[in-house]
Amino acid sequence: MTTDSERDELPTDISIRVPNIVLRIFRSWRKFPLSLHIGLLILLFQLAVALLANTLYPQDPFELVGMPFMAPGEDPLFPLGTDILGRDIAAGVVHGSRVSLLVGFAATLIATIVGTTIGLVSGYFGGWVDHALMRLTELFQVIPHFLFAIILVSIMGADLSNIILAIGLTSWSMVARLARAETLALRELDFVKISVVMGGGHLRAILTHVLPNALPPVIVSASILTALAVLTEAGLAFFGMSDSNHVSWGSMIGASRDALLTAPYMTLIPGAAIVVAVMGFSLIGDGLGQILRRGHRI
Amino acid sequence: MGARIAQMVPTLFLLLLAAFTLLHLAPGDAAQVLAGESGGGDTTYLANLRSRFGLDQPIYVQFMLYARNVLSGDLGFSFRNNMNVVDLIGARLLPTLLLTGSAMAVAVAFGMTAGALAAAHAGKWQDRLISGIALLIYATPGFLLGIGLMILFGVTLPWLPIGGFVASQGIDSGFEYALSVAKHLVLPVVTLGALYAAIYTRFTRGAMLEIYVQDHVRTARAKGLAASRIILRHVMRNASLPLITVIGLQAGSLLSGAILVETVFAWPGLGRLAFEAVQQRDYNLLAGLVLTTGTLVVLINLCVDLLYAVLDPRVTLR
Amino acid sequence: MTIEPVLRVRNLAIAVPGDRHPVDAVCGVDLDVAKGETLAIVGESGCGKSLTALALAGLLPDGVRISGGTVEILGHDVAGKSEHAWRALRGDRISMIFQDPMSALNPVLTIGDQIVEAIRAHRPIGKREVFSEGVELLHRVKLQTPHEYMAAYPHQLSGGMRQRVLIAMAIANRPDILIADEPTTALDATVQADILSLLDELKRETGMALVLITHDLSLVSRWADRIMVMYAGKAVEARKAKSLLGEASHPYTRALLAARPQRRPDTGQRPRLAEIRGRVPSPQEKGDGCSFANRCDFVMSRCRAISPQAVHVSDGRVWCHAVDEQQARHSGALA
Repeated sequence: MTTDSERDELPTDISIRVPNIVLRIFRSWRKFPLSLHIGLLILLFQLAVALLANTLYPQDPFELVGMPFMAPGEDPLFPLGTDILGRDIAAGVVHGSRVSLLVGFAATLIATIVGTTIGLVSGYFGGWVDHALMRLTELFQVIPHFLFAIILVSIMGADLSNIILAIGLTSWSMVARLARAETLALRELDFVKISVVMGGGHLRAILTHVLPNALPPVIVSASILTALAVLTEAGLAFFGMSDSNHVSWGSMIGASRDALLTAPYMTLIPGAAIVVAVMGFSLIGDGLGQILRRGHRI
Repeated sequence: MGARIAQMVPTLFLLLLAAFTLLHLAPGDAAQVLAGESGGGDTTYLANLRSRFGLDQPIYVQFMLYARNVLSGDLGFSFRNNMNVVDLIGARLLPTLLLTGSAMAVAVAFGMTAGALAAAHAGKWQDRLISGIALLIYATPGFLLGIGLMILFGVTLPWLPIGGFVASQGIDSGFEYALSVAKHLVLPVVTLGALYAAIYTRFTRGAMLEIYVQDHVRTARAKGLAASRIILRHVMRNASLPLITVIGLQAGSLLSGAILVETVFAWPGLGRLAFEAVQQRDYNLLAGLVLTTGTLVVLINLCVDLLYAVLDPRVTLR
Repeated sequence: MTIEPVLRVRNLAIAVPGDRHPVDAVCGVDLDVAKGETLAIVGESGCGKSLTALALAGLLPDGVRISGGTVEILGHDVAGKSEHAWRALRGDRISMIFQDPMSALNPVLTIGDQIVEAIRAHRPIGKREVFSEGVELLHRVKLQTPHEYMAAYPHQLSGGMRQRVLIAMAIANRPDILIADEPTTALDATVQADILSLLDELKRETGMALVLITHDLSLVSRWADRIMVMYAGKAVEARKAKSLLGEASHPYTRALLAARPQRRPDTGQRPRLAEIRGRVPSPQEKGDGCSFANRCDFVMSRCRAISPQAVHVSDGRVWCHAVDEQQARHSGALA
């Protein structure tokens, strides 16, 4: 009897580490590292702005609403000024936050799902599967991501979903390596072996034991990926590869290139928005990483 | 060593396959492009062209043809530039290596120093200042940083040229040529170098803090070694190992960064070539660039592994 | 004590970070170690013996500090000394070896590099000279073919060999005091005695004082001249080894001795091991009374209220109310 109950307890006891971490996050806001506080506040602010974009600036941000080249503060109607064509920069920044967040989250989601799946399968099964998948991962690592992304966008066309797809599909190699490394370590643990021996099947072992335990470092890398995705979107837009139906911070910078010397604020304002957003995601990654290392130490 | 080189083969093969796939995914084929360039053509002309380029063969034969061409040093023809892709890339390779190599050197020197300083003062104001600046630079898009530096040091304070590779006038000697190139190099190198210095600062700081608490550092302290010697020989030296791995992993990302920075500063390298190729939808050239940069990264990774084996006695290349 | 001790500690207290404010994890510890003498500090993990050892070498981790008392090395108080002053002493007059030889050597430097830098940190001598000194040191810690070891990397050596290398580094500058913090705990049982007898031999050769920190009373009983037993940050009994092992006074020492795996001399059988019930209180949990009161079989009401004072017994001191009472009764009976 005792051995049975022990065997039942052992795996669940270890695999609830993730829910524990989630619970801890909600319970111990005050114990968070400073970087996580700042990062989450930036993210919340950005989320609020993105959700309220249509309330704050109901008109189309592409609409020509005033005189072109109005510096910030020149006209109280346009606190951040107007651009080359007379579009409201404040409206552009507010609406642009939607594209940045959407691209950041969606591309990260794609990269994380692809990377985690490949990493888990590779690490769990080993052998030739591992070998083949790792060479594939290497391929996606050696081709410069940005070159890959601009080629994909150029082939598929620059609409929002293609941009998301291009960024997501070119940035998963880091996640795959990470997930594989975690899986390799977990595979050798008794509770995973027991699960398979007891007839749980590989899929079950992967989903219930390996995945939840490999997830924390993947989550940390996801916040770094989100930051990179926002930067990549801006770079693509700077190259003119942005969806012409949606204003984005990168496209605002790209559109202001000709006025760089005469009206640098047109570049600096959306640029600052990018910097703040990327800092937010990086700080979240830093903070989560600190919590994770702290957890491992205990 | 042999095994490490053999391990490169499948990756290079996949790279070739990727470039080939790219050519096939691209809208239109070479015959259409060529026909379009020479002012349109009838179907027989197109068919002729197709059979000349082997485009009517089954896909695997096409791939074999492509592979044979690439291995014999033929990356195809850039119709837009009216030049062989190999020649185009060859002319731009050196400037890119000059830019990325210098940027890497700057980044490693600054990153390791700043990271070590931050780690030595962990939690104090020096650490917060360095980490804060590193985060700020890290979060700045490369093109924005480049534009900012260009406006500051090229326009407001006209100390440095705002773009290009070398001055077009007043070059009379090899020395003046080198000096002019060096002047043009400063801003792009600082831009690209600063971005990676920020990354290496963050990484070095983390790695050093991890090593500080290891037992062998306590042994070094127990010997009565000077603090500077402990940091340099026992902490930095050991922290440089994971840093080297990161540098290798980031080689591709450095070339990505070069695309934006070279475009901003009109630096005639592979990155700017890639930008031009995308603008012109020159897929032959893009495929050549994928092959070249990919191979470059594979080779850099090989060098990194060799370096690692030299620096870490626990690792031997099989 | 007729000979002047090379290491003298009085009333040492060490503060560690607590929940709100620092708490003393070690307090009121006195030590005297003379030239050529071996003192063993024995206790369970968490009793403060390792912190004490680190404090003696000025190697307390960040956030942990000496909060009271004096540490005299060769007659000079070093307790409040700067890191700079400590650096001149460490590896020169006072050396230390640690528990885990597997991680105590830098993995990317050769054994030779690491020995040479230990010598050169305190004596600026020429390259050839320092190398031959390194070889000689490895010879003295009984590593065969020392020349080859000089060029080897730590991962090529076994744990026992690495501990010998660490000992060689520690004695490189003929220190007056060597502190060995659990030097054999991480090693195979067969190697443990070799390392301890090597330390004993080196001590006899050089006349240094040896402080052995361990949780294993049976292991050090053969090598120690005097033994101090620590419990929850305090000394509970400090006596000559022979009398402590023969007629331990403190209930905790007796429990430790009973928990020692030992064959009975008459029958050769192993008796059932006695275990000590309960657990060690954390620094925060400590109240006013004797820290061992909750686990003690002889607990009295004042044990929980008043911290016991030192009682002099033959060849040492004991901190226990029960012993105090016994003695009082005994002397009363005599009078």
